[in-house]
Amino acid sequence: MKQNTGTFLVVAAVVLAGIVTLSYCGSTDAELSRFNGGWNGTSAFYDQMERAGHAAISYDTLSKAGDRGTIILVEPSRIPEETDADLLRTFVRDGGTLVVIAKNESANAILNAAGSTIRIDESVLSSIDMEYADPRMVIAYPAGNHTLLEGIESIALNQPSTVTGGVPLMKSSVISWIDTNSNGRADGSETFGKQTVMAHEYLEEGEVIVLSDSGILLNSMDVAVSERDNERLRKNLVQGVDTGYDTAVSEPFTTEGMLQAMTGAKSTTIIKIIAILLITGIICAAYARKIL
Amino acid sequence: MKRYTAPVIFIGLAVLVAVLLAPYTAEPEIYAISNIEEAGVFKNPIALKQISQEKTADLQPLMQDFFDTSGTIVLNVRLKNFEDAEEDLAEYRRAAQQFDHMVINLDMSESEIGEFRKNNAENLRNLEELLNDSVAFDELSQLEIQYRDADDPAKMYAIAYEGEALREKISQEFAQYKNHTTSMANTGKKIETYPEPMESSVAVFEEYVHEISDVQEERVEQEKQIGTIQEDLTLAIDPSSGIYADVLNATGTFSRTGDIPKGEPVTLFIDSRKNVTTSCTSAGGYTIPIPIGKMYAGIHLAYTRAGDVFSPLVPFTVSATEGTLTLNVSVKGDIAFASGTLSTEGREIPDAPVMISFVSADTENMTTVYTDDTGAYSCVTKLTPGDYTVQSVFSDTAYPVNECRSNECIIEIAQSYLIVYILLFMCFVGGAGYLFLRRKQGEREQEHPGDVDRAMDTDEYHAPATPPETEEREREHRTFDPTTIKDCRSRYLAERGELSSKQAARILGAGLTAAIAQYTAQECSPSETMREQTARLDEQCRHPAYLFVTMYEAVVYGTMEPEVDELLSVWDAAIQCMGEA
Repeated sequence: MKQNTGTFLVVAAVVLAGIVTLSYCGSTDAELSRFNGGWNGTSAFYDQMERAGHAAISYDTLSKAGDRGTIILVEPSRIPEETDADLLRTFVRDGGTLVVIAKNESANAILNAAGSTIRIDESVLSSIDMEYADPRMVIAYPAGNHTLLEGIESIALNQPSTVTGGVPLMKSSVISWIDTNSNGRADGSETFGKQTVMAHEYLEEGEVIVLSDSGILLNSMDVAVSERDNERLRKNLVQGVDTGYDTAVSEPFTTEGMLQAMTGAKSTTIIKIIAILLITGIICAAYARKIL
Repeated sequence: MKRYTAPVIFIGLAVLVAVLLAPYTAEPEIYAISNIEEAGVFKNPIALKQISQEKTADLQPLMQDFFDTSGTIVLNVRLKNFEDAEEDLAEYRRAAQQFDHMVINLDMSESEIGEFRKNNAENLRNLEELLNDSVAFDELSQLEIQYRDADDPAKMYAIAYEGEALREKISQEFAQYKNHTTSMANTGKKIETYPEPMESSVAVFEEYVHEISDVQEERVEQEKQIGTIQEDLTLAIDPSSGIYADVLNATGTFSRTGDIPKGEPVTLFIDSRKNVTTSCTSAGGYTIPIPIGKMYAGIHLAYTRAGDVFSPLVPFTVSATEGTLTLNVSVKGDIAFASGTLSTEGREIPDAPVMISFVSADTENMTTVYTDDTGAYSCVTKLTPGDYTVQSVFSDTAYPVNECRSNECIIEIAQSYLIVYILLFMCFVGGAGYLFLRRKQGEREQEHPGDVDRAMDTDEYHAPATPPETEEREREHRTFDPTTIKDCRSRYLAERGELSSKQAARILGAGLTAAIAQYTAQECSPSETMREQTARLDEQCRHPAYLFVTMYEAVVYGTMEPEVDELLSVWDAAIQCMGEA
């Protein structure tokens, strides 16, 4: 009896160690990463997407996404291949909706590829109207009507840029400014005025929506921002559309090293089957040799 | 008690350490998510203070108020509704003060809102001047009628001259108002307010200036027709401009046909307000110093008057300079002492308002103090625990000194643990007192052992901690060898003459204890009372033993003095029952 108990404890410890190791290898502290469960990751948003039944969409499957499909790109960090760009353009013009949530100008390549005139201006938007004690935690208000903005009175942004072009959907307040010298105060030639942080435009049958702040998808920018409607905006993003999300060029899915291997293995069916068979074999062998 | 001493000390030390560590728990040394304010590009909202600040809702209405109210004030002045204009001005002043605080608090002084605030302050001053000058001009018109009726040409001349000075001043005010309004309207449009009422007021103001000019021209024309005797009173201001604390000299000569009486008073007027009066020399010369103190930056108009004679209007300029504001802050307990000096170009500024702000994450305390004769200011403020940013600001357009701010000082008001320390102190003192009293009690027991025994043997008595030496002595009494029970009797008989009845009774008590132990074959515990030991006996022997114990207690506790052999006979009965063990 005592020997069985000891064996059980050893096995339990090994299983626990395995879980911890897998968890460690399968997570990261990289900003915006879908595999980062910390305050600066986006795991909660993508979990929400998966729970709602939305799947990752690759460019190959864009053409199958349906006429009214929607694809969300977050901080697209690289320019798509020419063929992918063509697919994207066709997707939008055929009635698809492209949602780009990014603060970096590198996302303009995607917008350009999709044929949109909206551009992200990587400016340091600051405001006296701030949710947290930092002028870069800007509060933005609806400036137009859109289903995505249903039930939203204001949202809190985290280090936003601005957008130009298109029809404004959300703007900062009138006491906002572009902090060109990044000193946290409006001075010199910095002038006050509303700045657009979200805009959209229709391209033939489709639509392009751009939000110039990916920080809004951070795990810590959801329910924690109790005074604003950030949670509602995410809900609208997730539920309001027949959505898929990009994993090819979006920064949250950028992986390196062990994480890359782990995510690669998890996303490849044959590797998953081999891993399950291997684990089952080891357990059988251990049982046969009376280790267990 | 001895065995609990060490744990009690350690527990006490642990509590002490926990209390001392308590203030640091808010900022743990090891990782806590709330300590990571930023990593990479984004800020961590969990670590930042949530303030939900929406100041647009406060700022826009205030700015709109300025635009609306200024238009009403100008209109009321033009319609000579001076009381209404005064009420509107009072409201304007209150709003401007609120706006000033907001701009300073939000650190927007260097922004276009800060510029708006400066222009607004100038406009407010212009409107105040406009009201005062308009009232004065109106009074002149009434006086003019009186003097004309009285056919007093000298006074008519004075009125014409005074009127000219006012017209000149109101024209200047209009020019300034127009400039400031243009700038304010531009900012207002960016902030999505509607500056049209203020812009319209410029047109109203302009029409009013024309009306005043028409009245004044007519007045001067009539004066010429009257043909007042022209007398000379000259005025020159040297230098013609200066900065704060400079002294300009107004000099001139009063020349009248005939003798000039020495000491003829000459009065200096600046911006149509009486400034100072002096006397001219017998040659008619005079010199009046003009120290630049609380005088707004810009052009001022001066003239002198000697009797009914006026000098020409002479402008002089006061230039604005940069101010220097120092700040030192010290903290004692929860009291913050802030002090510093205000100066410009190395010259101290007395009697000037300095606003000191104490801003923490949760609160904002603002206090306005005034500088003393040396330009120094100080402030004592009680604050709640927390980190504060302290800064002082000087901002008053009545002085020719630009707005200036001190350096920011960060102070920390520590949490007061006075109550905890007092409780700890009371615990320590209480503990020490208790131990001290116990020791005293032990000493008393050595001197009067019966008192202690009484305490120990009483059923109702809850024994306090016993000092070690007392406990040892009791043990000696209670561990007599059972074979010596008879010796107890012999010893009692031998020593009862020398010992007190209590001490003698204790010898028999020890013998009974030994007998019970032997009879029941159970060792008597030192913690048991004699009654408890007796309770272990069988029914047959318990009764005589109880009789002895009752009498023993009465003797030992001092409520009874036994007869000779009375106690011994009861003891014998109890012992015999137990078969002499």
